[in-house]
Amino acid sequence: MTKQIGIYDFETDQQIVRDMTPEEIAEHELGVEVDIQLQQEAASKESERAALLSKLGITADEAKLLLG
Amino acid sequence: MAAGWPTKVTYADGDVFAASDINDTNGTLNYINPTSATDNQVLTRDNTAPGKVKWGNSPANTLTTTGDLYYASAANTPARLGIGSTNQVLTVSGGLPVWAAGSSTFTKIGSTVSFSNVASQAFDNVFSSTYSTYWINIESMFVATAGSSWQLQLRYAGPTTQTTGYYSNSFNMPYTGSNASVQVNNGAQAVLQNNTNGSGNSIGGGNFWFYGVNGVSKDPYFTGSIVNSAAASAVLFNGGTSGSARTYTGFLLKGGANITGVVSVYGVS
Repeated sequence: MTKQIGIYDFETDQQIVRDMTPEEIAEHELGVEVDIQLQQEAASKESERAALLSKLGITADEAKLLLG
Repeated sequence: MAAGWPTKVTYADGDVFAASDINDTNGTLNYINPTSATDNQVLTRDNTAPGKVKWGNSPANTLTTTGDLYYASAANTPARLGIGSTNQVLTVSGGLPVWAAGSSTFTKIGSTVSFSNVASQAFDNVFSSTYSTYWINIESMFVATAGSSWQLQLRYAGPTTQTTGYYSNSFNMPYTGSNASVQVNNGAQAVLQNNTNGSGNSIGGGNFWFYGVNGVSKDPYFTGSIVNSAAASAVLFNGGTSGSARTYTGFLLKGGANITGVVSVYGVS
């Protein structure tokens, strides 16, 4: 599916929507990669947190109490 | 009849009435040639020659352009003030009316921008020397894929999108569970928020501020907050910088997937 960019020009008060250029698509894909990395890091941290809580045998709320 | 009043004129067949046939109280001519006037002028008293009249300007030929305002540039001196620019307000400078940017107010710039299912949305020709600070009101946001982040980039003359050198920190505070920050250190874009909830993909709304984008070359910074209804969290967009001093003219929103939203921009002076 073709990626599109919306461009609103505040000088003319006009919105256009057009297909992205190859350069814009490459830049956009870079952002998507960053996004995937962020989600993976978040999921990894959550897994590590759950594993640690399980190892300690306490709940997340109990862990909060411990940390003050 | 007293001497000096208009001379009685007796007409005969073939006589031609002339200016010299009319005298005023001083015995001088008091004849106004209609063809000497320009359109929309009116007859008025000539205060430099008591008893005489002259052609003078009327509102109709002073107000030459649509939107003109009629005012006195000095005592008894009508003048026109051309219409100001969009969102300017009428104020006073040096005792005269002038158009200027509203002071200490939020002034909406352009129209509310709606975008639907686009990979990115650019906002061009937003920033200028007109305002020192800009407030971006995200009335609603939606990312097509659950768990995607919302990202920000800046644009400058071209317009060109800056794709390197961003610094930001977004602090995600879910209603339950642990808080988490998303750091960007010299990255391709700033991250407004990282939606870590896999079951939802909408963002209720939020706002953020731009500083240092007032038409001069600066490294601007931005900060704000967002409420993510689907991820059940509040996000404090602690803010960031573009990392480069430039004369920025606009910004760009995008996400890990296509985005849909409604955004309005305000200038704060």
